[in-house]
Amino acid sequence: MHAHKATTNGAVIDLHGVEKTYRGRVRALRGISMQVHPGEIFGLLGPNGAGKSTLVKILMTVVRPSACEGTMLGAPVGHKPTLARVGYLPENPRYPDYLTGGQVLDTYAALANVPRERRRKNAEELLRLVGMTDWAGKRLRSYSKGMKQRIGLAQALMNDPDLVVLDEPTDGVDPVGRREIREVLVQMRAQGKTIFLNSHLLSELEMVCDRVAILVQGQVSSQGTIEDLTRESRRYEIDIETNGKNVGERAAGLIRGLGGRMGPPPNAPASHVTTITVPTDDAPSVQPVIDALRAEGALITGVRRVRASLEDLFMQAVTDPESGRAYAPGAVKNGDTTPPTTPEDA
Amino acid sequence: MIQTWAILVDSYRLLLAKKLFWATLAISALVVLAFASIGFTEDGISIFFGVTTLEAPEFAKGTALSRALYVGIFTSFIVPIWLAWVATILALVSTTTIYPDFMSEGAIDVVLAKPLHRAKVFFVKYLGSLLFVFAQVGIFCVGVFFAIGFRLGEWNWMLFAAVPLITLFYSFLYCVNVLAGVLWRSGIAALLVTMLFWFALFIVQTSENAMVQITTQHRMEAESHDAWAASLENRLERMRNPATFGERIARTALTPEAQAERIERLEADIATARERAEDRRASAAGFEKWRGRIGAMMNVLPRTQGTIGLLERWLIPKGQAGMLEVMMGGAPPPPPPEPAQNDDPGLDVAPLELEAAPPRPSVDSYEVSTRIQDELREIPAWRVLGPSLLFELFVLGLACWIFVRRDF
Repeated sequence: MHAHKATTNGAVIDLHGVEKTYRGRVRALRGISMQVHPGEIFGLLGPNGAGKSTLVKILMTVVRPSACEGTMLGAPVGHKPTLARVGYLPENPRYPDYLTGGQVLDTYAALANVPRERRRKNAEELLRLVGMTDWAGKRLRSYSKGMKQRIGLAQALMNDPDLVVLDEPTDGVDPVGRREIREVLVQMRAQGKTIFLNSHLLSELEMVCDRVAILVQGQVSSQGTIEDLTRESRRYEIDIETNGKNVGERAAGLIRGLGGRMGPPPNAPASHVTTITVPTDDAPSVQPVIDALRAEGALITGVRRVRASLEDLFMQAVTDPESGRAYAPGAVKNGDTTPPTTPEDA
Repeated sequence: MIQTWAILVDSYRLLLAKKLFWATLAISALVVLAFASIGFTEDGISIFFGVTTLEAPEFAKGTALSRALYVGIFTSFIVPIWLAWVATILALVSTTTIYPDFMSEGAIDVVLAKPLHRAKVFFVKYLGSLLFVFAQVGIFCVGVFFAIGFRLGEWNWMLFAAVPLITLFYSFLYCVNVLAGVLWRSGIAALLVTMLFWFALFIVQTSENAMVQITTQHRMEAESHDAWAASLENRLERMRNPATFGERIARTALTPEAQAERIERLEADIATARERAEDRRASAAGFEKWRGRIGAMMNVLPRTQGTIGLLERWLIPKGQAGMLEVMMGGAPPPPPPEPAQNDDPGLDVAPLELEAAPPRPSVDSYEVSTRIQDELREIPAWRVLGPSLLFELFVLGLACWIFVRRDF
């Protein structure tokens, strides 16, 4: 089965019902729908075997979908000429090690039909951008993994793409390099380019992504801006030193009224500190609680505005709400209706 | 065009990066040097640039046999042994990993993500892979061209036909290598399959050659027996000729009984000759059937030996002395004497016991080889290359189909 239908609504990537079943009846993707908007950095995350790489490969025509309705840059997914406007850095790229860094850029840009003069000019600029100018004439076999990754990033940008698809771009890159790559991504976004980022490093995604999608066992578990996805988790946490005393009646009533709760801090359950959690990110609503606590003589040691991290969202997405256990890594076999979870002792 | 050029340039860079390419080139240089070291003087053959001389006046400078030997060394030894065997194995070892490496994860992704049709990538990559052999043979032929030019004073541009012919020969094997490489993505497996295929081809082609040799030999023997029978019949007819018979009997010392016995023996010899001719024909027909079967098989397989053989055909035109003449010791053996026709009226009346008996039939290997060579020369080049190219196209088409449809 191999079906393509084009749809478009202004999104750079607009996917509906993308499915992929590999031989051996492994269902890698089970009806993916996803939109990536122009000029944003979109993060794709998910556990191992969730189907992230398969989805990226379908977009890049490396893998043929079993079913796919959707567009990329306004053309049906799989439309080869459109790839001239797309830059791609795969996971663990392997460039011929007999080529120099400069030759890699030139060769792959030529494959993208970039004229020679533009190749020369772009290579010069991009080598400078990724800090590889001094290494441009050396063969890849003498490069470290991080250096290869930098060349790979430059390669993905050689055709001055409208959409850049990066699969684990910071893999093997040192912290300084990661920061530089993040800066490059932000710079590209400022130029109006759209970036589709697939990474395991949630903290990095959180730093640069405008929107994310979490893929679990071939399905989109959630997608949206990080603000939207974390809205429900936003709260204030107030730490007070109780020294064995209870919170006063007035303050307790206010906390209950706001749907809050009290208890020892999660990371120090045996301390003499109590953490009051108020499920709101509205600062004025919390003021009466603080006033009441102070009036009752409580010693406030900390007030924090808290929201769930991307890691929290990720863990929530990959955890079975019924059993509380993480789903087992890997794709779903054809015929299975519910994803398996990890064994008890895992 | 930018894309095609980029793939070809990449293939060229890959070629230069292969140590085996340079090793093969170095050995080729040595082979050319050894070839160029052979020369001809007034006394015979000089070796190692004149360090020693083999006295052989029949191969003296300027003779037809000296040309036959020099060109023959190239077409009969250097091409089939070095270029079409050792260098081909080295080329296969060197190029067997091209497709599996190209299709490995991380490498293929970047290429397929370009605005480039997979079939185009596949075929241009294939052409680029043939550069290994094309460049090797090209450089080699330049050396041989100058060697032949300086040694024989013959600037034979036809020599460069070796470049496309050997590249084609190599491509008939390499397409199988590519198919196996695309199927299993393993260079070792692809090399093994190619070697097995080459060996199978060798067996089939050798069997076909053997069948050709046997059927030709048997056909020629049948012809020879027929000719013998005809000459005996001729003799018998003359013996029975009333115009001469009486006089001959009168002049011979044989008794009429002995003469009758002689005629009877002659009739028995004729019957035997005819029987043997029939037997040979039947035997040839039996082998012809097998030859036909193997030939049918070869119609769908590449004719690697035939492809290489075209070079000899083009470099040594029909009628010119070739390696066969050189190996026969410098000249073809004298043709067997014609059966006595006794056209001389004097002989017709010679006494019977004085009349020379016709020679018994015999066919030597030189005659058979010459006949086979002549027959092979009659086969047009398109009949040799056509089925081979169709085979290559089919195998490549299959490999390309798998490549285009595969998920990486």
